[in-house]
Order: sequence, then structure tokens, then C-alpha cells
Amino acid sequence: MKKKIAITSDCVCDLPEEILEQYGIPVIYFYIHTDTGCFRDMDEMTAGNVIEYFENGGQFISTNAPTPREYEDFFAKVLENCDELLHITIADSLSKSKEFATEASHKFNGRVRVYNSDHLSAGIAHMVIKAAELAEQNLTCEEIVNRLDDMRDKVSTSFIAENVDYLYRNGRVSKVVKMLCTAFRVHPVLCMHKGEMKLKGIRIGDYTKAVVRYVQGELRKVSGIDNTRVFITHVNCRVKLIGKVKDVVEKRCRFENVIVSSASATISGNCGPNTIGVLFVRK
Amino acid sequence: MSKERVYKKKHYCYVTWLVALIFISLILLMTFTKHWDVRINGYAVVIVAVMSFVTFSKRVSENIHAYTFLVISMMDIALYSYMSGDMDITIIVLCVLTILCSFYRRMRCLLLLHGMTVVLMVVHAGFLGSVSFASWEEVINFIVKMIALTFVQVFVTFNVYRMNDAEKELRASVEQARGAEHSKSDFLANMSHEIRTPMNAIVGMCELILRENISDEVRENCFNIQNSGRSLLAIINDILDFSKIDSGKVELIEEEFNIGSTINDVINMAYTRKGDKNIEIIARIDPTIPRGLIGDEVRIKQIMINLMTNAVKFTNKGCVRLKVSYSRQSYGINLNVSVKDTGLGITEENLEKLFTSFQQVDTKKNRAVEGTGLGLAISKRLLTKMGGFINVSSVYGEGSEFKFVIPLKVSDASPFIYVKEPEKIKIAMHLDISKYEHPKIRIQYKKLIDELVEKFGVQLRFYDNLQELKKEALTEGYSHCVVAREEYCADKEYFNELAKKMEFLVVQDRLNAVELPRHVKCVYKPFYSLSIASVLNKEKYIVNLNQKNVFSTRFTAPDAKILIVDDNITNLKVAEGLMKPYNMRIVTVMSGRDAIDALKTKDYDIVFMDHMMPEMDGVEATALIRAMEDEYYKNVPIIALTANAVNGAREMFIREGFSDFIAKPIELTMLDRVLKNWLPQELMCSVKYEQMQEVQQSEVVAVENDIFRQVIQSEKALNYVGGNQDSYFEILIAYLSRGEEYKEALDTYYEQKDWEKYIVGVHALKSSSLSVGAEELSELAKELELAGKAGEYQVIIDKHEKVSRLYGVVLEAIEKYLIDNGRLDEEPEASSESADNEKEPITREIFMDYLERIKSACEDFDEEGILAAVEGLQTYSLNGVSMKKYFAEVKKFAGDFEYEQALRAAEKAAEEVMRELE
Repeated sequence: MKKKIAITSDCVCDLPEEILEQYGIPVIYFYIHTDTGCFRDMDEMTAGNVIEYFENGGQFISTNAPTPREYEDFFAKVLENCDELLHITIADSLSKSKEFATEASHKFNGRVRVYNSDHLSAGIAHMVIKAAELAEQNLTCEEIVNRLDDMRDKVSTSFIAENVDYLYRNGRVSKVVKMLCTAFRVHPVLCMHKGEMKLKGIRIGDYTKAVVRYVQGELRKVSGIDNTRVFITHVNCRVKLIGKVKDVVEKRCRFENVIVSSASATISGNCGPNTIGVLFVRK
Repeated sequence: MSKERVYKKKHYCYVTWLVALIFISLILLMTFTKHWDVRINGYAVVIVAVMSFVTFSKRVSENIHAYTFLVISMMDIALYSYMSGDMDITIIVLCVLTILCSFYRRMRCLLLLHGMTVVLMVVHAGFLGSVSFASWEEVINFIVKMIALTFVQVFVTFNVYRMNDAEKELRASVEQARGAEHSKSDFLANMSHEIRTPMNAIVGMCELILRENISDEVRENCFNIQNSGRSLLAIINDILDFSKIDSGKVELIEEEFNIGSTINDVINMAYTRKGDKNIEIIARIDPTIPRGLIGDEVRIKQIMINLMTNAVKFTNKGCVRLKVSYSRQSYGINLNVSVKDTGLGITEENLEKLFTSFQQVDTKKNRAVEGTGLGLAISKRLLTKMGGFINVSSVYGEGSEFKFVIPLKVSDASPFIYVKEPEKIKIAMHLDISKYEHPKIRIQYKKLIDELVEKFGVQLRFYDNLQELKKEALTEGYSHCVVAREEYCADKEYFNELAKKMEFLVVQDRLNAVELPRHVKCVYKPFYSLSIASVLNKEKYIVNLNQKNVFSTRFTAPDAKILIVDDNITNLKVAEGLMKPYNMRIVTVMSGRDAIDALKTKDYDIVFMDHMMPEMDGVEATALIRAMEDEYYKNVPIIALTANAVNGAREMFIREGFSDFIAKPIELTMLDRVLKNWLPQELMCSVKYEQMQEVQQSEVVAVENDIFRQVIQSEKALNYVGGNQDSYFEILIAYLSRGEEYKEALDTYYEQKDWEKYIVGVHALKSSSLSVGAEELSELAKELELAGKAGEYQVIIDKHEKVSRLYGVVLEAIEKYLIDNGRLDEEPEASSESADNEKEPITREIFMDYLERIKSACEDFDEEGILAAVEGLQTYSLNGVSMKKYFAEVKKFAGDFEYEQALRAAEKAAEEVMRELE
């Protein structure tokens, strides 16, 4: 049966395959360029592969949004089974995805609408799932966008990184900052604020303890948190650490759904291994 | 260590000593001023700064750390001791310093410190007067202090000595272990040679069998043996290469390859491993993958086989699904391979250690499963080397999926398999997938069929139940019908009837295959794009796509002279057999010494030399040949034949004086490449390879009558012509056209008892009958020939009638067979006359025109021209008689390429016709 509105997103929304299938959300792949080739994010190259690549002496990595032409083909294919399409992109300050998707959307006479989530990773996922649920309730595209506008500032997207090596590699921090962070075992906590990536704070000392403190800090005002779902999104973390975070999350707040997802290669290329985040929505 | 690093180290060393020198000078200077108490803070700062600089600087060696620390500390103690005159503190500090120094585990440092201790004690006792021996208590006090100090120093020194000794032992053990590892590598190398030699014979002999006149089934089985043999050799190579892979020294060989062949091998291997396990192997292969890829095919295949065999090993119910697809990139493609199973699955904890060497996860559960545990580690390292990645996802208890991607360049972008004229193909498929209990098998089969339809562009209707199929089978215009074995068995009669009306295929398992009538075709499981397309395109044989020249070679070199040197007669036979199609003059010798003797004639164009032989091996023989005095010996190409083809072998052989090398078992593609590279260009004559390939792959399905089937083994005869039906028809026509004549001649010789001519006759009958597949007749002819040669004419007398009768039956069967297949006009004797009467009467002008064309074609040796002109003449008659009768002989000679005789026959016929016309 033809859908009225289809919700689509970038693969960097880090939604697990089962949820994508459950809500019928097609995603478009980003590209990772390495010394040896170009790979589709999540499909051909995962977060773990990025880490391996650097561990094996890989030097160069860059991530790219799909081209406007690819967006065009993607939208055309999705539109075969729906009347309208709402595409939710990663924050435009981090990628050209919004720009390219908007360019491609002009070819479809208003049938495609592109929405800037102002978030990354599972922060987008929250908005994508919300949009999919609203689309199932037969809301119009305009109504969905309005609801997403209300939601945008309530989504909490933050991560704690084990070190700043990858941020330094990508030129986001200076050499001096890197040296100091390494010397004092500083773990930066990064967050998305008004569509920009900001340093929210730092945790010092043992990483597992720092992660626990970060999770406790994020979930400190339980009453203000929407407990429908929470994403624990990580970059190649050990099972033990994920289990620990899950325990802390479950102890602090009774979420209906705790979804553990692996971050996309694009995100892991920027944050490094063992980065982990607890992403939820505030009321 | 790099030059830059050495430079930096020296640089730091100089700086350290410079700082120490400045410090010592300062101290000496200040010592003379005797203001120790005032300057002490300054000294402390300098000491801490220097020691920190040296200690925390990671760039200087441990030796520099140790000596700088010792020198500065000793200077400090000496000064303090001298200035303060306090021996008790000096002793305590010396003890602490000794312990600290022991951390560096340098005996020289400790000995230096002991020397310093003695000097200090002497200075204190002799010059500073800090030791008083006034009373017994003071003497005892001094002795106790000395014993304590000595004890600490001796104990620490002994401890360091013991530790150094233990380290030495450890080092020796490590060396020993390395030696053992080296021995193990040597052992493996020798073993590989031992294993490779018989494997060489197996694979090589298979190659020879494939050239013989064998049935399709044997050919396919032989093909599988050969492929499995190759895979086994690849495994042996893996074990050999493991150390290289581990140390990152593995060399990739990038060559053009066809993924179809790789997939075929992988599936065969996995199917062999499956054995009688009740699991389905489903292969979803994208047929649009580019035909020509550039990469290390052996390594890619190795990874695929590893993943597939692992999946088969760990799956006891359900299915193993292989999916091969690709994505286009600016440099070529990314090849995506995914192997998914419904096996045991892997826990999250075990996923983390999955790619570690020598580890089989969940060992308790998998105790029954064999394996080295090296496979995944090797695969991952190889993929990293190729610039690709591997990923695994798994749900414990439900199954796992291994996916890998490799970036590859493309040399030919056309799809590796396609269906010819897909618009003409409409398939009815009857496959009751509900019989599979496992839901994933049903899903995978559905997906496979959908993909085949989409990618091939054919029409397909899927029937779940038989009744529905029966209703529509003949009304919907289907060109093909595909059913599974179980469905076929449910109503064999109906399907056998249906098979007479359309192409009918039964998909079945090799292990419990049912026997099918000749007109029903069979596709063995796992059916996938390649096997389905082959059947739809009516290609008979499974062609090794990488090794196109299974039946033919690309060139011949009748004037080339080749010397093959090998101590093993089997290997010589294999090599000789493989080179036979090149039509070269081959000489074989069994030792290096014989090879040198043989080469004295200087008339060999290439020498193939086994590198490992008793007495004089290939390397030694080559060295001797190269050292011989003549330019010929310096330049003659010597190709090493080796079973020890480890990576880097080429360089080694070239260093030893060889020109090139071929790994055993010799593969045709490799041989072809080497011959092309090293044979002088003028000796090679090209063969129209592409044409041969085309005719081999096209097949006309012939209808056979019962008598024909009884007396002729057409399948064997077809093998002589590379499976090409058209060529077979031509041979049959030639056999038939002379048949009656030969038969009469044979009878005449028999009646006249002209045994000499009779023997020649049966000799010809023997070989010609064998070439058309009339084996019984050929056997009888052979018997008579032998009897005749032995003078046992009674045998001929007894059996001639039988031979003559059988010859007649064979000719009759061939005639009927040719008529049935539209290759021969059916001309009933009774009606021929009336038919001739209906033909247009020929005029002189028309006849002269045709005659000119025939004569000119005869002069140009143009067989087709002659036949076309004779055919044209046949549409006319002369006085109610067909022109064909006048020119039948011309046609016959033209068919035998006897152009002079054809011309004479034409002139003779023309005379007759002109006479009639006048």
C-alpha cells in the first residue's frame, strides 16, 4: 500500500536495522574515504573498522555526504511508494547533507521536504522515530515539522570520549590541549547545542568511573526526562562498559526502551574508540 | 633504528654530559669557597633539574639514564659527605643509592658505587676523622655499620647478578624457541613439498582426464576433484604463508579474474563440506558484477571459502546463505560478500575475541568442530592488506552474519553472466517452499528467485501448488518449466510429458538425485545465477571462466623444441600432456645432468626445469648451464617448475639464474602466459581461439531415435568436437556420404579375399566409426584388423557379415538421425522422380553461369562457393532429371576439400549436361 508520508534520514542517525525495518525508514549512506577506497558508512564500513584502520597504520580518512544526484535517486526510489517524503538530516554545521538534500528536493515539486535535525547520531534517531510515529497517525508534513521544531531543543545529544586523539587528528583540538588531556587523563564530554558541537565539560581519571559519572550527571533531573526511550550509542566499546552504562541508566531512570546502538563510522572517525553517549529527550 | 633517531639520541647524550660537566664545575668551584650551607638550595635545584631532564626524557637510552643518575648522585654524596663529615648519614644514603641503582640492573654501576663507598669510608676514617675508635663501643658501632652496608651492597649485587643470569637464560630460551620455530617452518616447507607433489599429480591428471572423451557426469566430477585439489593446495599455501601474514610481509598478486569462477569454486567447496548435513546452501549472486576484476583472486577465494566452510561447520539446521554484490566506485567496485547462517551464533563477549589467532570461541559447545582457529585471523589480516574490512554480527542461538568488502579495479565492466534474449524466456516455477521448516530458508529462496527475475529480466510465475501449474502450464506460453526434485517425483509422468513441450529443468541435490529421462534437464543445488543462466543459455558444460582454455589452446608452435626436466615420471607425463595441445616438439629427461647433455645441441627454445631433484638439482644445473661458454646458454629461457611456490619465489628463482617460474601443479593459464612470454614470436601460430570458444559454448539440442541411441554413443563423440553439435552433424554427414561406397568396397574386398585392402578398409572403419561414436562397430573393425594383421582370416570370414550388417544399421541410423534433425533432406525414392519433374527446366545460359561459378570456386578452394552453386543447380531439372544427380560427385569432393577432383568431376558433369542439352 502506498504511504502518505515517508520518513527518511541519513545513515548517521545510528538507528539499528530492526527499528528501521519496524518503522519502514529508508536511510541514505554516507561515504568514508580511506587510503585504499571509498566505503558506504554502516553498510561497508563500521565504527569498528575505522578504529582498526587507524590501528593498522591508516593515515587518512574523510567523510562525505551523498551527492545531490544520489539524494535525487534515493528520493525518487522512496517516492515510488509514497506521496510525500520528509528527510531528516544531520546538523548542517557538521555536514553538507542538508544542503545537498535540499538541492535534490527541488526536483520533486514540493513532494520532498528536508528537515535539519540540528543533532547527530541517536539525537537524530529520536526525531526520526517521532516523525515516523506521527506519520503513522496521518499528520501532514507541516504538522510533523512543527512538532519536530518543538522537540528539537529538548533532545539531549552528548558523548564522552576516552581521549582527544581523534579530535586532534581531525584538527578539532590543538597539540597542547591534546598533551595536557593525555597527561591528566582528561575525557571530554561533547554535546550538541543549537546545532553546534560544544564542549560540555570534562571528566578526569579512570575512564569507566568517568563514564559512570557522566551518565549520572546527564540523568540527574529524572523528572524532566521523557522516559519513552533512551539510546546508548557507542563506538566499539567493550561489552562490560556497555553493560555498566546500561545498569546505571536503568537505575537512574525507568526508560520504557533502552536501545543500544553502534555509532556510524562517520561519528567514530571523529570521536575515537570507546566513545559512549546516553541520548534522550527532555519533557 | 633510523639515522634520525640515532642522531637525536647522540644529541641528547651530549646535552646530558654537558649539563653534568657544568654542574660538576659549579660544585668544585663552590667547594673551594666553603659556603656549602648557603649554596645548598641552588645545588638541589640543579640536581633535580638535571635528574628530571634525564629521567623523564624518553629519548635517551637506559644506559645514559643509569650512568647520569649514578654520576650525579655520587658527586652529591661525595660533596655532602666531605662537607658535613657525617658518616652515619653517608652510610644510609649509600644503602638507599645502592638499592635505587639496582633498579637499572647494571653490574658496572653497582661496582662503581662499591668503589666509591670504599673511597668514602677511607676518607672518613683516615682524613676527616669522623670515625672514632676511642672505645670498644665505638669500634663495634663502626663494624656493625660496615657489616650492614656491606650486607646491603652484597645482597643487592647478588640479586642483580641473579636477575641478569635469569635474563640470560630467558634470552637463551627465546633463541631456542626461535630456533624451534625456524625448524618448524623448515618442516612445514618440506612437508608442503611432499604434499604438493602428489597433489600436483592429482590436479594435473584431472586436467588430462578432462581432455579425454568422458561423459558429462565424469567431467563434472573430475572438474570438482580438480577444484577441490586446488583449494587444498591453497590451504597448504595458507599454512605456509601464515607467518608472513602475521608479520605483515604477505605479497598480494593482483591479476585479472572472473568472479563467476571464484564463486563456483567456493560453492563447490562449501557443498563438499556440507556432506549429508540437512542444511540448505543458498547462493544469491548478483549476475551484474563486472566480468573482469583485478585483484588477488586466490586470497579473495580463500577468505570466502573460510567464511563459507565455517558457516557450514557451525550450522546444523536451517541454511547458509552466500550473498555476493557490489557497489560502483570511481576506481572500480567494492565487492561485498556476506555469509549468513542459522547456526549456533556467537555471544557478545566472544565476538570481541573472534579474530584472534588460534582461538575457537565457545570451545565447550564446539568441541566436535574441527579447525585450526587461524582462519578468521588470516582473513582479517588479508582483508586489511587488500584495503578491505570484515564485520560480524550475531545473535546467540540464532545465527551469525560475516560481511566483508574489498575495493577492486575493473578491467571489463560487462556483467559476468547474462541470459541471452531474456524477453523470449517465460518460466513456470513450481517449488513448494512450505516444505522447508525453517522460516529463513523460505525467505532466502523467495529473495533468490525475486533477484534472479529482476536481474535477468526474464518473466517468471511462481506456483505453490501443482494443480494450478497443471491448469496453466500449456496455456500461458511458457518456454521453460523449473521444478524441484520432490515436486517432480510427485507426478513424474505428467512432468515427463510436459518436458516434451518445453525446456524442463529439475533442481535436485547431488546426493539423492533421481534419474531423469534424457529430455529432462537437471540443475544441481545450490542453483544460482550462474547455473540457471547456463541452462537458460543452453550451455552444456560448466566452464571454468578463469581458465577458458580447458579444451583448446590459443596458439600452436610446431617448430618449437622444448626440454622438460623432472625426476618424477608422473610429473613429466603431466607436463608433457599439458603441453601437447601446443603441438610443440617435446623432449623429456630425468636429471639435471641429462639436461646439460641434452642442451649441448643448442636447439631447445625453452627448458622447463624442476628445481628439486636428486643428485643435481635444478638450481645447480641452471648455474652450470648459465656458466657454459656460449651466448646461447646465457640466454636460453629456463623456467623453474616448483612445488614450493611460496611468496617471493619468483625473485629467488630469478636470482638463481632462472628466467621465470611455474608453480606446480601447472595450470594452463600459467603455462600459456609463460610460453607466450618466452617462446620466440616467429615460432607461434595463432589459432582462432574466440571462434573455438564460441562454438564450444553454443549447443544445438539434437533429437535421437532409438536405433541411433543403440548403436551410437553420441556423447562421447561430442567430446571429440568440444561438445559442439554442429561439428558433430558435419562429421556424421561426411561419414554417411562415403558410407555406402566404403561398405560396398569392403564387401567387394571380402568377396575377392583381398585381405590386404580389406585390412586397410577395416582400419579406416575403426577410426572413422569411433569418431562418430559407433563404438561397437569400431571395436569389431579393430578386431578384424588385428586378426587380418595376424593372418587369422577365419576370424574375418566368421565376423564380416556381422560387421557389414552393423555398418548398414549404423549408416541407416545416422541417416534417420540427420533427417530427424533437419540436416538431411528426406527424399523418398518413389516421389523423387515426380519432384524432379516439377522442377524448372535448365537453359544453356543458366547452366553455363552456374558452371563458371563452380569452376571459379574450385580454383579458389572455396568449399562454400562450390556447395552454394551446386545447391542452386538443384532447383533445376534436365529432361525431367534433377541436376543434383549430375553434380553429386562435385559436392562430395568439395566436402572432402579435394578441389582438383571436384573441378574434374564438374567438367565431366558439364560434358554430360551439354550433350543432353544439345
